Amino acid sequence: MYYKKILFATTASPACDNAAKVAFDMAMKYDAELVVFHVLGVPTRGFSTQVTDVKTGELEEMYDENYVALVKEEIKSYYEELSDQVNVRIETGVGVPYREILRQARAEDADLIIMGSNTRAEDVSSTRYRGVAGETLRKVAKRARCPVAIISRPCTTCWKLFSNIVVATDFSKASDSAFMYAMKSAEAVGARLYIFHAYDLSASYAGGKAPTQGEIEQRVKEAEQKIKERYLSKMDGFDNYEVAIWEGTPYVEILKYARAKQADLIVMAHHAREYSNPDEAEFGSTVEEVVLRAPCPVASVNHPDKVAD
Amino acid sequence: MNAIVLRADGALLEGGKTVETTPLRHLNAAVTLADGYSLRSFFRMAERYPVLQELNAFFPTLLERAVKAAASGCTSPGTDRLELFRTVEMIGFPGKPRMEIYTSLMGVGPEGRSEIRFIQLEDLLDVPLSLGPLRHVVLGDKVDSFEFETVYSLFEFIEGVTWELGFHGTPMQCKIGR
Repeated sequence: MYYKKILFATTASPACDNAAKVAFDMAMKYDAELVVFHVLGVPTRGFSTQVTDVKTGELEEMYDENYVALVKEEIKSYYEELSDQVNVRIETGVGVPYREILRQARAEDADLIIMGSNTRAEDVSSTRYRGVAGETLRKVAKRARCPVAIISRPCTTCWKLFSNIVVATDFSKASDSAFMYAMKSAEAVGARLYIFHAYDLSASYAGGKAPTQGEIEQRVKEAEQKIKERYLSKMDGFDNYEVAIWEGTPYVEILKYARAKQADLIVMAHHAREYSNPDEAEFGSTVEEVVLRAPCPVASVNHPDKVAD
Repeated sequence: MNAIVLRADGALLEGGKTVETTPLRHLNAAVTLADGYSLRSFFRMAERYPVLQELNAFFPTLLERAVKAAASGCTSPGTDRLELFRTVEMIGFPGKPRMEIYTSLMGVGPEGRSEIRFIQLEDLLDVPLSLGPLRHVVLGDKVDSFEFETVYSLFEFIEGVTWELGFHGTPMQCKIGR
């Protein structure tokens, strides 16, 4: 997996610091161009030269070249320490943040988008807010055609030194892309790949009938077979992997498994398997819980673009 | 409101008597923490009354880690105590105005309150645990932040602590790829 261009969507505030470290680190290690992208704000109604700053809510002049230059200078100075040996370009946009990020990613043909789980500065005490991923992230993860790496806490390992990558699958079409991305990443950095599936017991109970032990074992066998057919058959000589199938509540099991294997990266498809069209899917609750609680970065992949190469 | 005392050894005390069974009946009781109460006491309570572990999906895993940790000396420099407190916050822009009511578990040290999710659970077990005030924040303005005395039910206490600990997950080490 080779990254030529990485888009780092940021508010250039402490809320994005953890993601910034990963973005600059990756750009340096892969010798990729890093596009640091900041959305200035949402235009006011009608013709106006003013925008409502998405972070502060203050009205700012948007078409004023001086204002744009000032913002770029602020971003440059904010990331000055990280910029050494990194090919950085700072870009700004005006509009609804998620649309502008997607637009910029498409225009730049970015190989990867990096974001924090929340882009606005939060009161550090408001842990409960961390129960909800930022609206911008949800929408970017839902629609992006390239993988989206979500960084919600300090990453203790450099991306190129990752040794354990967990890919969690629900056997959806999008999960196939997630698997492909995880396998190529594991191959590229020499990491061990853990292919994981959680048989959703909570969904079984929701049907009003708890599955018997025999039924669970049957489902596990079926999942093993699916993993063999869908993934192991495509390994193409890659042998540094393990397969595990646990039963329980998927996000809990994924997090437990990631911790047990000291995962450096979790890769998942962003939407639930019942959605065939990603545009109809809300940010899957499993992915959201994993993103917010995972000990490591989470890559959301929902499209084969940028994964097949 | 019924009251219940949580002892450092994990026992629940109602009217001076130890609750032996049916801890769920006391979930609505107002909590008082006995002297010497720490996070380790919290996990001892979960060991003593296993049904309480069902209140959070991560409780059994957290308990497993707590049991495996060193028997004493599990503290973290800069964190003198842990405090559970409640916040009532009016939130305005961006988005529609709304009110959030939530509990937080934070570390308290010489430099004030700090997040604990980056500290390993094993380094927090012997840090004293206390119940803090209710903070009322008006539209995110810290100047208009007021503090009031409040009470916590046993349910709020368990749910608040386990919720926060559910975000613990910083890797202990990093290995080099092959």
